[in-house]
Amino acid sequence: MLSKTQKSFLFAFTMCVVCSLILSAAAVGLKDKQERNVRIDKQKNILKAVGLIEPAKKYSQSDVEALYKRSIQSLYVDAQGNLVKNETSKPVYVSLKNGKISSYALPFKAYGLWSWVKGYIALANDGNTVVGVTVYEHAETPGLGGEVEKAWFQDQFVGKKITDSNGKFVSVGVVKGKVSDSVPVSKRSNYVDGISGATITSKGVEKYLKIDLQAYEIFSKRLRG
Amino acid sequence: MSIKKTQAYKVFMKPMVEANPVSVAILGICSALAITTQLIPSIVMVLAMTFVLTMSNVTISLLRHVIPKNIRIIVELVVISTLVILADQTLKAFMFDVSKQLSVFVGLIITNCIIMGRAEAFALANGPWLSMWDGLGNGLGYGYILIVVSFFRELLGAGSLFGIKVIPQALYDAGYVDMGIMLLAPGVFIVIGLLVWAQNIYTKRTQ
Repeated sequence: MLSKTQKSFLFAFTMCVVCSLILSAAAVGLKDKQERNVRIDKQKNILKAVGLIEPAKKYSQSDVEALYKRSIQSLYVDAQGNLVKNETSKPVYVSLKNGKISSYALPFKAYGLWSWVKGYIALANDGNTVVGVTVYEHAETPGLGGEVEKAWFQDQFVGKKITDSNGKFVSVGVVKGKVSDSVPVSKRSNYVDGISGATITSKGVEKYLKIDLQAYEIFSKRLRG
Repeated sequence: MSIKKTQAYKVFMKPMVEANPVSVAILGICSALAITTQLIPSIVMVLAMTFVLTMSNVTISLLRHVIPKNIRIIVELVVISTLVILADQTLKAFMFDVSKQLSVFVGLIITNCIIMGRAEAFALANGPWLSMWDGLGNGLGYGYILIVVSFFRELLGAGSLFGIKVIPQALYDAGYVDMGIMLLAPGVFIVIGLLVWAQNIYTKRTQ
């Protein structure tokens, strides 16, 4: 006969095995579908960053796939700043209009408070003006750092410049509080309002956005001429 | 025998009004705060929650004679977390946008005290048939409050229902402004407070 403690251990062990089997089966069975969702969500975010998604319209998954295929070219930037088809560490998603670049999106990855905030920032063909910013993955606190995924925060970036009035690369900064309170008028095109209650997330976005934009400067500089 | 006399019916109806988990026991307020800004996520949340609550009640009730007493709480938690992860994975596969909107709150169903409370107070002492009705009743009793709250929050806070604008543009042109406070936490407390008030008046009258 088993003692009481042994019975408890046996029960706990059986319980763990049964539950983990159920969960593994579900994870394996649903994996393909989840990965497809994530892939399409990324495509949708790229389209949104370059301004091809109308906010009021609904898009089905196949709409997104078709639109992406039609209007986005997935290329890479090489060490000399050329656009190439061979894979390098710098992917760039180019939106073409009549065979010419109209805008291009590049991925950014910023460390917030809890984890990486991943998204895209799109620049116009002048290599300077921001067309859009989107976030497709983050683990910030909803209502505080989680605001990075909200339209009010992202929409502020539209029309901002990544260079200062002398043409020097400065990236787009995120200030604490409001831009109108702390930044002189001449520099306002390089700053957006921060998220209140989420200084670490805001500062993280500022820091890593600069690093990531800097990495693509070799390409953006050419467009600025 | 009419359906109203069965014990299952009584068990199912009790949490609707007289023992409602939100408006009487004031449980599950955290999730009510977080996800009721719009109707669609609230409805999905209610479905996920009812699924987990019903299934956990049935499972725990079936196992009630074999669960060793000294580890029963952790066993209940394992059952609940397994069900929540299943619900979360299913949402990620089939309702990706809603699952993104609900973010961590699906996972946080695990910590919703209604589920653990029902497992301890009901499922451990009753058979699976009645436990199922108790789970459904509590899930839906929690659910309709959430839906009422999100109806008012979305209507007054954003001027829309199910994501579709219902307040005509003419009204905005005439100077009507959405109530921003309804989208913030105080809005929920006001709506739930009013519901609890209505509930108390009703209970006093029927007693």
